Formats: sequence, C-alpha cells, structure tokens
Amino acid sequence: MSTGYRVVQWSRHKRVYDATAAFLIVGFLAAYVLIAKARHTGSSAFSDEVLIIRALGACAFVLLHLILCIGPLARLEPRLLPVLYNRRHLGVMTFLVALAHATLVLGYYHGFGVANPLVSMLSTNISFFSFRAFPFQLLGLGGLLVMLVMAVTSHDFWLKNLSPRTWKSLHMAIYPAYAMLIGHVALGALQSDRGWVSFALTLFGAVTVISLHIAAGLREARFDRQTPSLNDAGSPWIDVGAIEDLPEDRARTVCAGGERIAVFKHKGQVSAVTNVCAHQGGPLGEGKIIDGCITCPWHGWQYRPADGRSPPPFQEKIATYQVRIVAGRVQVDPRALPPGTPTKPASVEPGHA
Amino acid sequence: MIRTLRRRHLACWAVLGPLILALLMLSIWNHRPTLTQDALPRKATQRRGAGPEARP
Repeated sequence: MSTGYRVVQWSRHKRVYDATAAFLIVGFLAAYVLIAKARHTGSSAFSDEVLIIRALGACAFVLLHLILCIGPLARLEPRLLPVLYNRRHLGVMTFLVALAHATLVLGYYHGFGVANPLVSMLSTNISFFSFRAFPFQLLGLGGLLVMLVMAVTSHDFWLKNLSPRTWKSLHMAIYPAYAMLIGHVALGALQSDRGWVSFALTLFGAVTVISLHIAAGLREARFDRQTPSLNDAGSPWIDVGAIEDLPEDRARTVCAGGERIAVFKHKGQVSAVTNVCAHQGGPLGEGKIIDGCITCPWHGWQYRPADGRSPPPFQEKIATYQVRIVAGRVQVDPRALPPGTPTKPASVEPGHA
Repeated sequence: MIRTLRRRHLACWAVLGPLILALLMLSIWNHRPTLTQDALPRKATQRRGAGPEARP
C-alpha cells in the first residue's frame, strides 16, 4: 500500500522471502544436477549443458506448481495466507528461471546453424499432427510468453492502471499457460525419459493443482449460494448472528445478493464493509483489525471500519453498509453505500462486548 | 466483479483439469523412449571420433 510507485517496496519480510526462495532455487538446481549425474552414467550420461537446461526447466516447472497451489491453499487454510503475500516475487523468479531455460535451449539446440535460432525453433519441427514428434518447444514458448506478460504487468502500477478486474482476468491466463507447459513437458522431456518417476511426479503435481483449484472454487460457490435469513417480511435487514458470536477484532462474512459483506467487531462497536479489498479483491473478512483499521490478509491494505477509507495519506475507499443490533443480534442492510461513506457503528450494550 | 471472476476461475479449471489429465494419460499411453535430441550430438561426435574405418 503506498501513495506512489516504487519498483519494489522492500521490507524485511520481502527480503527474507526472496532470499529464501533464491537459496532454495539454487539448492534445487545443484541437487538436480548432482542426482542426474549420479543416475545417468556411462553411455546414458548427459552433457553438463543438457543437465543445466533440464535442471532449469524442472525448477521452473516445480515453482509454477507451487505458485498455482498457493492461491487455493490460502483459500482453504487461512494459516497459509502469509505465503500468499509475496507470490508475485515468486512468479517473477519463476519467469526468470524459465527464461534461462529457454535461452539455453535456443543456444544449444538452435544456435549453431545459419538460421536465426528463434526462426530455427519455429520452423524446424512442424509435425503438428504427430503425438510423439509434436513440436513441444512451441508449447513451452507459448507458456513463456504468457509468463513474460504476467511478470511485466505484475507491479501495482499495472494493477492500478489496468483496473483490478482487467488485471485479475489477464493474470488468469496463467491457467491455460499451465496447460501448455504440461503439454510441453508431457510431449517433450517425458517422452525421452526411460523411467516412470518423472511421469508419476508430473501426474501428482497436475492432480494436486487441479484438485486444489476445484475444491477452493466449489467452496467459494457454496458460500455464494447461501441465502441470508431475513428478519421479517419486507425488511431489507439481514441477520448476521448473535453479537456474542462475532469475534473481537475479526469479522463474520455474509453473502447477500451475490455480494459479500464483512461485519467487524472492534472495541464494542460493530461496522460492516464490503468483503472486497480495493487492491486485488482480497477477502477483507478474513483479515483482522490492526491499529484500529481493517487489514486485508493478502497484502495488508488498511481501511477504517467506520467509513471504509484508508488512513491518511492513503486514499483508497471501499463500500460500507449500515448495521444495527436488535435483541442481541447483529443485522446488516445489504444495500451498499458509496465507497468511503461514513456510517454510525452499532454499539454493543455493556455485558455483550 | 469478484463473483464473476470466481465463477470464471471454477469454469476454467473444470475445463482445463480434464484436458490436462487427458493429455498426461495420452502421453503415458504413447510413451516410447527413443533417441533423444540430447543424444544426437553426442552420438554424432562418437562416430566422428571413431576413426576413418568407422565411416562408410
């Protein structure tokens, strides 16, 4: 969260995260090369260049699986939310590893002819109707191009200027890119692999990613289908629950008309805001109140509960809702007020706080 | 907006999931390890280094 743009707004958390990720990447590459050297000896030995190419490709592939698992895992298990915080840094690192893999492939397999290496790669193999001889490198190139677009637009500058909706839709292109990269591996490296370990690992990774995304998606869809209980006929107010059931400095989220509302209790006052963070659409209802502000669990963007405005000097605003307490039960009016509209928090009677 | 994205996300995986798994199954079914691209330069070098008598 900032009033301007910096290339990277470094914090201690980000430095530790990035240093750990870089260390693990280097460790993976070294381990891959050493294990492959030990496994493939004699006539089946690979050259050092090929080993490095394979290690980089495997590393990028594993990283992509991890990145794709972070989102649904954070939805299914809130304790994993801290991993989500720096996912974009991990994404850019994955792109750089994949780029190194592609550059070495171009140089090693296509760099020694008279044709431009890229032209050579695009034109050498055109067996599009053959399963075993399919030009799998093109699938890798397609996936890499999508990752390039995502890495370039990963900064908050693009998020703000493209609008969160467009940005999110654009970044969902990683899903078809993942399918292309599975094709790249399945029709490329796996076809030349004599064992079944790589197949088993790839299948395990794909099943994990697909299952997690579908499980998280179904869970969200089930929540959206919930029908709020109305108070009485014609009343717009919907029941959120007993005041005692609202956790202090946390929220209870309700869904009304397809929109989620986060109802927070803080120091004896109850306020309601939209569940959607203005930054990346993070679930505010899964966040908590820190320093008197609702704090998004994804990237820490903050809003005041009473008016949905970020504390100065920040200028972000989110929609607020009217809330009241009747006979010990919290009720919310599901009609959203314009972003930043001050509302009167409902006060908890002594003995209920 | 968020709800639309959530629906799109679920629809995307409902389509991509079976496609990805089908692709992997097909690649396992068709798995015939043959001469790899990696092996080509090495084998050519070995033939070159084998001396004149190895050439046709």
